[in-house]
Amino acid sequence: MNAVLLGLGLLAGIYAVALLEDRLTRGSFAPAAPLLAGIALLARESVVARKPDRLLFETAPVLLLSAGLLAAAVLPLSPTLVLVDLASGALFVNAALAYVLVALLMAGWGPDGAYAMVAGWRFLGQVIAYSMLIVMPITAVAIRAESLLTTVIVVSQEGWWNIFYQPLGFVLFYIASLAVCFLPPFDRPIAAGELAAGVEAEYTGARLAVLRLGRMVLVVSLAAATTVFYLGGWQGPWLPPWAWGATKVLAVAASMLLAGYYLPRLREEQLLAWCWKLGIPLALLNIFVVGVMVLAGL
Amino acid sequence: MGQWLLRATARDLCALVIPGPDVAAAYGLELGAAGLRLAATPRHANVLLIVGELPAALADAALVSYAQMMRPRGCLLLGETAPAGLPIGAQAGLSQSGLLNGLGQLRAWFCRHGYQQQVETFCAPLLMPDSASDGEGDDAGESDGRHQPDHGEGDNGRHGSHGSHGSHGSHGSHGSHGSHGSHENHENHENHENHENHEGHEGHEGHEGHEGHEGHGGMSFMSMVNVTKDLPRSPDGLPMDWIEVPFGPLFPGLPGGLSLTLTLDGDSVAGVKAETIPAACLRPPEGGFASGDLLRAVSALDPLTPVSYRLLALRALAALGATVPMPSARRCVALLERERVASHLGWLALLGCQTGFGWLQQRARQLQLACLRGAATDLRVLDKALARLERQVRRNRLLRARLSGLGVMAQQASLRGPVARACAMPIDARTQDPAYGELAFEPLCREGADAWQRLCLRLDELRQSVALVAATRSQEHSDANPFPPGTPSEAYAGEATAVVETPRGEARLHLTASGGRVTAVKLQPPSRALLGQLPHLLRQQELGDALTCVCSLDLSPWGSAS
Repeated sequence: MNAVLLGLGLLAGIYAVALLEDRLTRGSFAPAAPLLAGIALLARESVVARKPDRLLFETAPVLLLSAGLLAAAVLPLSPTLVLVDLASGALFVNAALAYVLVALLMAGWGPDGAYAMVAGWRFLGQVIAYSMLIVMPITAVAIRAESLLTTVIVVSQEGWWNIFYQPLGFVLFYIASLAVCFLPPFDRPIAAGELAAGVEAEYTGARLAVLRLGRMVLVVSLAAATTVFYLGGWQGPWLPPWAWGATKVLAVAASMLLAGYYLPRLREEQLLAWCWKLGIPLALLNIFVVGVMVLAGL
Repeated sequence: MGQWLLRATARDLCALVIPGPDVAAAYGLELGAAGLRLAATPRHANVLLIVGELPAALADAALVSYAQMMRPRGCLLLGETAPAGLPIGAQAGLSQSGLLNGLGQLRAWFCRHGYQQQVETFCAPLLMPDSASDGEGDDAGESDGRHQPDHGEGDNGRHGSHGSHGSHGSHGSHGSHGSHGSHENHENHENHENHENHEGHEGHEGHEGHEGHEGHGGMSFMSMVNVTKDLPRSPDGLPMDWIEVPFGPLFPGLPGGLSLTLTLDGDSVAGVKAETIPAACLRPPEGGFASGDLLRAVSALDPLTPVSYRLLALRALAALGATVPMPSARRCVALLERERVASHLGWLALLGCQTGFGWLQQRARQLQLACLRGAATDLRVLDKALARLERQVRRNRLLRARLSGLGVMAQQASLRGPVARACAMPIDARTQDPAYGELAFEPLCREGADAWQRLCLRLDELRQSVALVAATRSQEHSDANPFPPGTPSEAYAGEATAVVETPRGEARLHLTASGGRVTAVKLQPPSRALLGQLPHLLRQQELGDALTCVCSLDLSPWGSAS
């Protein structure tokens, strides 16, 4: 039952994200557009590039989708609506997200095309920049909750949501989650203006549909992770818990899409420099401050 | 079920625009409002949208792109002449209403012809002839499941990426493989970086029979040194396989028609080759151009700035001594400046697309279309919107960080237009025009000469141009042809030169005439000098930075081939 409800919720979330993305790229609002685009992709030819590494080419979209789904599986929408309440939940989110890199490298290498290949390696560069900024803020969240259980993390925020308790961690995690989902301004692996859709360039038809779906799932998963880690998960007055959870996830997903709409893509060297010279020291500071606050009993 | 699927497909149209979205916008076409999405690659498109008449080079690219599109696919032609060999699904006039009408036709066409039991293979002649035999396709759930050999290969309109590895043969990195012993099958190497992938190593000691990805497990470290010893070296000393990758002529982040071949060393640029669209229409026919024909040929040369080029031709003919239907001097200023506003906004939209700045792309495009559509009063209405756009762009620190220090140009005598003025060189053909003198025109300059300064200069010029249009108090017409009707007289002879400051810089037209006919035409378009600078400017830039540099120069490929 839980699985069905969560699945439906995820689908609704993906649809909303796709709708907003379509609105932002095309400039006009069409409620049926994502559905039509999905059908059109499934009904279209799907070809394999001329000399592909077939295994990598075929596996990559499925792997990307799986990574997103695995991350979503441990994130609760309400106290009872969680697929697996894993004892190492917070760590598991991070572990699942590691496969995004693998999927994109495979998708880049697989089709044997220059755009895709450069795009795949570009994502590797991006991972070097953002990966510590996913792990270190999660560490601080776990320090406060004294647990890696995602449900316990939500309960630990009863007094103060983590966005207020550790705002620095929130900002870093939020920026890093944009980078994980390769959303603008971190869309270097699928940049239209630089690599004509990059890793997506050689995928067509149903395979492209899976690849794009994977990215949408990733966006919803990261929005859910942000909600659980920083926005008090299902907590809130009046509405039932699942409604609060869903509202927050959608709001975070929408903000993630909108943020990139108003910003240009970053240069790789700047991204690396800012993440390592500024981001990581700030994340360390965040861990230290949270540690002190926890010791002080705040 | 099939019909239902087709109807859904016909409502989700994703277009590859030829020559490009910039040209479509210059014709006043609003693609998003018509329900079209823009595809970044032909692989993702199901509509090939042809805007206007295509020069030969782009007609070839259209064929190749069509071959690369996935079925069901259709072609919509806005204009009169279709490239030979392209199956046209729908045809309409070159206007917004024509676009809407054409899309309606195309949707109906999709429903009728989207899937067919029997399909003919479409093969573009430009695709590599030997590749037709080993194309691989698998059709997912379609009734027309025949493999189409034209997918996934070849030169692909110089847009896609496939040809890149295949075209390695020439650049010398093969020498390195000699150290392996007797390789006999080098033509087949596709992934040169991937030394596990060599399928034709016949004489490898200890490596016989390994194929694909089994890996060179037993290869010692020394062998790797040998393998890479003859590879080209980057400035940092790393040996890398260099690949030649085509960007354009239909690349989303470059002006439509501009075609760059970048030699990539990893993801930095080691070499550049630029190709543009030759001005074939300026070759005089037997007996020379009649003035009406010349006027048409020059005006149609650059669809991005038709007004400037028409004025250029009119001025050149007038200088030859012909009586020409010239608008008043004030009106010329208004026309030129309005075109400058539209052109700079179009450039901002391209910059937005290139740098992934969605808001800038959409907002600038909207304003450009409004500017192209509206009458004189509307430009003043636009003033506020332009000021807001300018403020938002100038305040955007990330954009500034992205563009600062990129593509710094040295002062050179050959520079013209905004690029020169951003190098603190006050070069502007408008200063010699008395009509501008009456309006107290002074060219704007900036120092710094990088991409950010070029952006700022164009923002300054936007404001200046709006003010100039307002100062002319010209009663503009919103009709399609702002020029007075009539054809130039045919009684003239001799030589004459005319100059117009187009939005990209000075264009110079030199005409030689005898007996009322123009026998020689020499055009110096504004972008030609800049094209020569590209190799120097882009060398060792990261790929994204290199493309941003090119974009910041605002090159027009039309007629720029020397």
